[in-house]
Amino acid sequence: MLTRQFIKRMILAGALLTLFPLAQAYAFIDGITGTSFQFAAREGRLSTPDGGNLMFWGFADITPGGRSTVQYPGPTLIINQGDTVTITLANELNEPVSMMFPGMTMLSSTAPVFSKGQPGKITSLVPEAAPRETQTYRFKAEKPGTFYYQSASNQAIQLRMGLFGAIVVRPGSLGAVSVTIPTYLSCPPVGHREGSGGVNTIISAAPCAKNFTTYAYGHQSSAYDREFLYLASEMDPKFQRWMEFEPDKINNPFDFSTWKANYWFINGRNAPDTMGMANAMNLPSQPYNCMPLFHPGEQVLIRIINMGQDFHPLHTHGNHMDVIAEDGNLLQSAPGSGADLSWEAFTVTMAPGKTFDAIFDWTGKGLGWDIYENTAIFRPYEYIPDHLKTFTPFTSPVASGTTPKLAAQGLPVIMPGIQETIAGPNWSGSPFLGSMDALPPGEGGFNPFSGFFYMWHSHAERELTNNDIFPGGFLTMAAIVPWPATGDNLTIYDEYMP
Amino acid sequence: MKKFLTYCVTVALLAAALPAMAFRQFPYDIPNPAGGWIVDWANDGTATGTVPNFIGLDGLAGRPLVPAAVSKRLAAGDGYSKMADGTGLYTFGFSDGSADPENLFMERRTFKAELPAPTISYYEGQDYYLTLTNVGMKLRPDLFDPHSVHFHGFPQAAPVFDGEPMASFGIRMGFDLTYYYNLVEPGTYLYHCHVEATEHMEMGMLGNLYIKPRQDLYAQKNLLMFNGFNQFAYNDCNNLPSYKADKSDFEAPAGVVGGTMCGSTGYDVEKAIQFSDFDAEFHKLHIAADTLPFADMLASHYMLNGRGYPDTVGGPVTNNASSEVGQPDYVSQPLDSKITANQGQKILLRLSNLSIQNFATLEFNGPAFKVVGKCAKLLRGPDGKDLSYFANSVFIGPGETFDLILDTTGWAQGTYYFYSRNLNQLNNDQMERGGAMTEIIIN
Repeated sequence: MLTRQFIKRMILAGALLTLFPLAQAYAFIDGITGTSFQFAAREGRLSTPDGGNLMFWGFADITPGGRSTVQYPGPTLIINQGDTVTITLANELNEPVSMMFPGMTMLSSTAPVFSKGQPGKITSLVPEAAPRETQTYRFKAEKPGTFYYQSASNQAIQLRMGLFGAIVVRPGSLGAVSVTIPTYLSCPPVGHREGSGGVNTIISAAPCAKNFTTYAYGHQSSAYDREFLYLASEMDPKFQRWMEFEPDKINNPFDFSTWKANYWFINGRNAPDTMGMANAMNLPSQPYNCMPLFHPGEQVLIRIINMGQDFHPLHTHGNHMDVIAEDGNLLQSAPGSGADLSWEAFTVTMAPGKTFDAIFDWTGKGLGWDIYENTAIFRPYEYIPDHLKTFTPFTSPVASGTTPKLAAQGLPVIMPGIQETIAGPNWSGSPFLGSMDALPPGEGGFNPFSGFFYMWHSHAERELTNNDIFPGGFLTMAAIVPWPATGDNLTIYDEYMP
Repeated sequence: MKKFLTYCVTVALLAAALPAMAFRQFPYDIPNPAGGWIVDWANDGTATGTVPNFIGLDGLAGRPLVPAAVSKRLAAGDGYSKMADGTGLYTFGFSDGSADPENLFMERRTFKAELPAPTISYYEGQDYYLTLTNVGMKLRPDLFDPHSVHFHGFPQAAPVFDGEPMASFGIRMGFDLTYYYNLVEPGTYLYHCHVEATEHMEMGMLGNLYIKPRQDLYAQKNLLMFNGFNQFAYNDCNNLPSYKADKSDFEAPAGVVGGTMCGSTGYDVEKAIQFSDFDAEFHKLHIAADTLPFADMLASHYMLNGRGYPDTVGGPVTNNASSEVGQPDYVSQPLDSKITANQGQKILLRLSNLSIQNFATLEFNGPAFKVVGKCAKLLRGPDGKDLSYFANSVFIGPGETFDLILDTTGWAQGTYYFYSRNLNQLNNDQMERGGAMTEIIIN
């Protein structure tokens, strides 16, 4: 597995650090950058793919030039290690709201708020903004990593209503770090540019080496090509409707013992909206999508956050993830040792309030057959031992005394006929990467690049529904996009552009 | 009339053509001069016919005879399971039809769903051909669901053999689909049908799946013991050589096969245990062809290997299908979860969770065990640091697996319990003192 190899090499080969000037890192994950923000806490309305909609409370970026609409989840803050960040929160709701930033060094007051000043009757963990008033928070981002912010007031209600968002803290520059590519993989040409915006470059052939310039943490073992956010949350529609329609909440309180999620969100959307366009017009308050697109051999950083109240087992089809950090802390045995305590998982349990960073990659290593069938030239990161492998599978056992083998073919088995299968929307018709073939009538069609698609989803499969309707919920498809002959067909925003 | 005849002929031709398309695939089957085929895979784990022996093992002197390629044929369909409180529940599931002749396959495999599905266990390095035949749902003729096998956790998987139907396809009723896996990585995995996953998994299409490491074969072939063992959860020795390309033998090791951790995952007794649960109401509505209640799902029966305690420690469970639906009873839950070992032996527990909504803390009431693997990976850091740890319980989520080693050295003889500490998971619906619990007997 390349990831494991890769982290090992990064840990052992820190000495290979070469110093190149590094441009400011790209904002690959959709979010807002800067050090001074104005936020508003507001009521909004989100759409669910079953045709419903729910009221929520969220944050809006009302900084001049900002999106200014309330959104679910709140705007993702993308800041740099060492930044001092100021956020002024304007409260447009009818109850006090606040913001807390676990993992950050607070520079503004952290004094809790008690109801009528009575000790024991805590209403907020940090100072609040009263309705129609503002509160200013200042903190220093000492450490790089994946974090979040959330309301510290009346959390039982406000967190269920959506007052939270992600924080990405980028590390200081490490310069370019050279990593050798395992020799069992074919080397892309020297000068080949990889990752979002082509920021990482193949610098030598045999032994093939690549320069990384993007890292999640201040160590080479966290280098990546592309990054994606997985922020989980859930809603019980009964509760959302009670919040919206119950006129007498004092005498008709919501029984939280009956709270049961029936909508599950990734980055504020339920499947299949998770795979829609970012900033889609029909989802004005849910701007973030979640559909990882990447190439074979690229290192994909998954920033995992659970802002809900339930555990979610995140399962990545296709390969294991390498979990390199927890709650914004690199899993290292000592400072500078790199992610030497990282662990691999095909399912990561997302606990409420926790964050993980994991690195995923895929090359098809060890499949036992050539994913490019009979393509003579080596594709970037192709697993060399399987190149041009062929098989002679049997046909049907219809006659005795004969050897009814087919001509040599690239797949070890004969595929069933298209009339024998029911194909999914992301099936190209061909088992080979970058190829397409006949599909059953009306099936397929959502795979323009003939890529390999993998469901990345909650393995608590009840969560693959939208309020009783399957499929939906906590589900998205990650896709491996074949390398184009030249250049890149994924934009710096990781969108496919032929 | 002519048009109608043409139509009839076309339909007849299609009908004649279609069965010929359905076939199991294993490249080592050989034609039988008397007609039909000599199937090589009639006996899993033994090489007959044309399959080359794996790493040249000879079957002598206690050394195993392991074929280089293996196959299995699973049927996917429906059936009935019997819960520990006597409740019969309609299920979907798999059953093993590897030994059934083609002409009797449908007859023998229809309405034979097992819970959990037949265990799949092979060696690292084997080529595995898995043919899945959709035999249809006898008691839900209104359904035309396809089925699939998802090899959960298979590293570097390709969609064509992943069984996830959005990225690939499921197989329709009456047809076959053969999956191919090069079993490259040892470890504890699991498998399930991924078609309409919420429904098909709740209905019981779940099974144990694990791959034994090549270190077993290296030790057994060379009559070696590592740390006193010749079978292991993972490859844990340094310098363990890989197979030769033709798998006829191992390469020469680059150094001494050993190291401080060598044999640390060795064991005497092995057991795979899968946690799952059923919502009885869902199954009752299903057989009534009613709307399925995803939103209101609440598990009522918690199980280990498809049974609630005390059935977990009993013999094979025959269902009560005949009383429910006029179908013959059959053994629907063949797997127990009882573990028996002698004092001083090491037990390897391969744990998995395939509930579709519940996490569980599985607790042991004896001394601490060692957690040596998670998600089919040895718990070691990228530079080899030992990340294994001792514990008395594991918190396991849906789709996760763990490998535990219980070293019974110094334990008192007697009965120990391995059970869910989630108190609501210790019942069989209204029947108390049941659910996700089993016994470990130390003699």
